[in-house]
Amino acid sequence: MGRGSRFKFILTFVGIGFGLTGCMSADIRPDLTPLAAAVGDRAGGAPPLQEALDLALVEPLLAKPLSMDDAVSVAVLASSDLRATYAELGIAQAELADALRLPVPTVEAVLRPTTHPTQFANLEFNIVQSIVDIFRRSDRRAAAEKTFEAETLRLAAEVVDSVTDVRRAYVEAVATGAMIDARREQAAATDAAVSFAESLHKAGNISDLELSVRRADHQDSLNAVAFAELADADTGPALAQIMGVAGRVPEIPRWLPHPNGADPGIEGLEAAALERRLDVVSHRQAVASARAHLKEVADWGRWPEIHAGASAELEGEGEWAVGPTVGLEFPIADQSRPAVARAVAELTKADHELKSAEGAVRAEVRTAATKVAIARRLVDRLRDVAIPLKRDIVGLTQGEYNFMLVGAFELLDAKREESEAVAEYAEALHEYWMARIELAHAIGGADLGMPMDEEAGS
Amino acid sequence: MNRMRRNIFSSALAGLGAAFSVRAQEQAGAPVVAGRTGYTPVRTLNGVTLPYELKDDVKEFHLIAGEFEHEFAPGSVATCWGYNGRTPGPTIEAVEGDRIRILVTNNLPEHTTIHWHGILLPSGMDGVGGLNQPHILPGETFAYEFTLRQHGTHMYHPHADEMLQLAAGMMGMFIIHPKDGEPKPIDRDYVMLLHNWAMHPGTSRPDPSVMQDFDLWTINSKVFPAIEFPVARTGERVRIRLGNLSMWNHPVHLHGHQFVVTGSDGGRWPETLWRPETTEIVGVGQTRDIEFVAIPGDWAMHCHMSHHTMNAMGHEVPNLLGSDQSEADKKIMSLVPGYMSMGAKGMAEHQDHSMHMPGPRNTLPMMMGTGPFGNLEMGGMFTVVKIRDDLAPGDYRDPGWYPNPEGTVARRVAGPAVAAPAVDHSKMDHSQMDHSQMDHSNMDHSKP
Ligand SMILES: [Cu+2]
Repeated sequence: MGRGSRFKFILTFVGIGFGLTGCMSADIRPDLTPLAAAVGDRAGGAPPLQEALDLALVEPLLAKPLSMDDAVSVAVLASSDLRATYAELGIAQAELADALRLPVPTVEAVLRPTTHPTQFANLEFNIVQSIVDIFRRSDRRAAAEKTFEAETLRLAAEVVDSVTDVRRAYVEAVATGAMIDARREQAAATDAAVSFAESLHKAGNISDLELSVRRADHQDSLNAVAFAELADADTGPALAQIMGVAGRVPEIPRWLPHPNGADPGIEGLEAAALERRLDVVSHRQAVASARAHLKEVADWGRWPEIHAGASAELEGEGEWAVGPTVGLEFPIADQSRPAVARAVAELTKADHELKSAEGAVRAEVRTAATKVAIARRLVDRLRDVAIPLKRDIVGLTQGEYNFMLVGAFELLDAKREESEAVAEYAEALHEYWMARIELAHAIGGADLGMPMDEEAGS
Repeated sequence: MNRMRRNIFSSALAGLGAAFSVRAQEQAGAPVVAGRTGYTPVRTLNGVTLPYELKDDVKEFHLIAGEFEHEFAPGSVATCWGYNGRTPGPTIEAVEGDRIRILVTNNLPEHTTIHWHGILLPSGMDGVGGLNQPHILPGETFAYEFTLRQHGTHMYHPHADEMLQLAAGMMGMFIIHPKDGEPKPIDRDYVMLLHNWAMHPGTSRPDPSVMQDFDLWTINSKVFPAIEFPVARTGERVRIRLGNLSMWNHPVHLHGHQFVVTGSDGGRWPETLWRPETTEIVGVGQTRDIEFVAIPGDWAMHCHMSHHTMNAMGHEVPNLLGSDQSEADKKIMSLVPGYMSMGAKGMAEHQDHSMHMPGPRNTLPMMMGTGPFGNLEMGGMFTVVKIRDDLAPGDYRDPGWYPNPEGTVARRVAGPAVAAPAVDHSKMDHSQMDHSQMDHSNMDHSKP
């Protein structure tokens, strides 16, 4: 081989290194496919995740009365927090790519002054590659992929959490609005009672005391309306904000719907939750990852570092001396022991964290399922028994009123009692849907199946 | 018609009246009152006279205490207690000097007795459970036997768990005719037992614990207009025997007549004690006989406690009289569709409202009854004594409304040419009300 061709070989080698770097930076936008796959059906029919905000998709959703699923869809499309999460996937993807780089040999050039009469300096090129790195590469690739997978799961869990937050905000906004309606109806009853009392008082038929009692009663109702309005004040803006459309006032239903069909039973829920919960899956992956890492450390940690390479040296005569090099590290002691110990500890830690997460999920599922069952009985009883009873009482009181057995005050008091039951129903629906959301979250995110065709309070 | 002639006429009619009464008893399954027609049998409005069997010169009666459904008027039925399936129980009717035996069978769930109110008898026959006799247990039959040594208008009722059993309807009249006949023969002899009932609206069993605030006020356990009208022929001598086993005194007022009070539990009073009245208080536990010579017309007869001529009403309802309800009406109607204010101009409109606005189940409206000129706005202890020139002796049928002779009816001399219809349904439709026409501008809501 001639001198020039050998030099050329070296430059070409380095060039390959730069070329590879160029390949890695070709697409700088994250690919959301793995995140979308990890989320799966956990977001309950939300549209596909997409990196860029597309208002053309958001606007139609905001143009009609917003269902809970619509709210989630808007958030998936428009929420800045979610898009930050998507960006984090890009970071993870970059880190994976970094980890999967081909092993890069070390190139070194040595220029030494020389006493040789015809030579200004002694020039030497070396290219060295770790042999062990090459052999360990598949294990490292596996570990990096596991790390990426874990990160993807973590981000997917964030997406599911965000969906839950949107659902909470939605139910909160509708429920607090419904409570205002219920309180206003009560106030309408006390207002009518005041008008009635005023007319009687003007005619000289009731005392100042009786009139004041009715007026004070109405004041109590107005207070309740104001407190309901206060409770409602921040829920609309909070929903808009969490959906990523802060400043907008989305149109939401006036009442939460009554649940359709049977609620999920507790049987099999825990197992399903452990299967579906992304944080648990993530912990499980962390355990697998730690186990793989331990294997790698254990398998390769004892191997001494071996380098192989080539060396080219410009000798005094102006001739290039070219030849292979081999380097071997001499382990004075077993260098792998601390690394193995650390890997074992990390595996143990991951294992305990998984168990802890599983325990937390079981508790969460039980609590949520119990609350759903209690709240369901409550909303059903309110709708099917308590409110019809109060309505019957209004009707029966009206019958007594018709026969001059009671007066209009009693009739209005009965009406107020009915409104009180309706307010309790609003509160119970609030509790119910919150419990359903918590349960859906506890089992790893699911479609809630909130019926939007009927409004319970109507 | 002078007094002498009328008496002769009346005496002649008495026999016919008795014949009619006997027929009525036959229809009720009673034995014929044989032999003694020296008296006019009483007529218990809406009720019956208890038949007897003559056994070895003893008149044997049989009362069966039990529970049954009783109707105060169409629209109000209650589970009551009484005798032989009715309240008041059948009227016992006998003659001074009779030996009588009354068998009492107890079909009630608890023990009972019968006290023969006002009757002179051996202490052991007086019927106070625990004092005069052992209680008559459920399923047992007791015999009371004594000789009647008096005459007059008397009553019978339990003297065991008395408060409850009376409240449930256990009571009856016990009439003893004088053995020597009447000094002034009676053509028609009516029996009215006054009572009160805590039949709370929407319920169907009298509440025995109530002491004052009763819902229904009855004559022979019926309320107007379900009370059978007493009728008479012009000039007949009519006696009405009033008993009171309620918890209130009742000043009973008869229109169009000055009656004489002629007797009580103490028997038929000597004529020197008779006194003319138009209203006679029948105290709690008392009886009174009033007599009058019938004057043609439709004559109201009622308790003068005005709440006793009403059915159930709420005594806590606010007073609406004189109030302007227009503002409240709009608000209440938006909350309770079908609401209608009433009482601002008075309560009379209530009778019309109650005809088309449903009230509680099994409950009578406060005011009922219509006559030839409109609503009577009555209930409870109210009836009409109907006296006609052409009524046949012994005919107790309702002759209809009185045909007033020309020029004898109060007439309108001023005011709207056309009377408001009795039931003005156009008033019920609030969509027709023009609230904008009402002036609220001078209502000051800022001050109490
Ligand atoms: Cu009275």
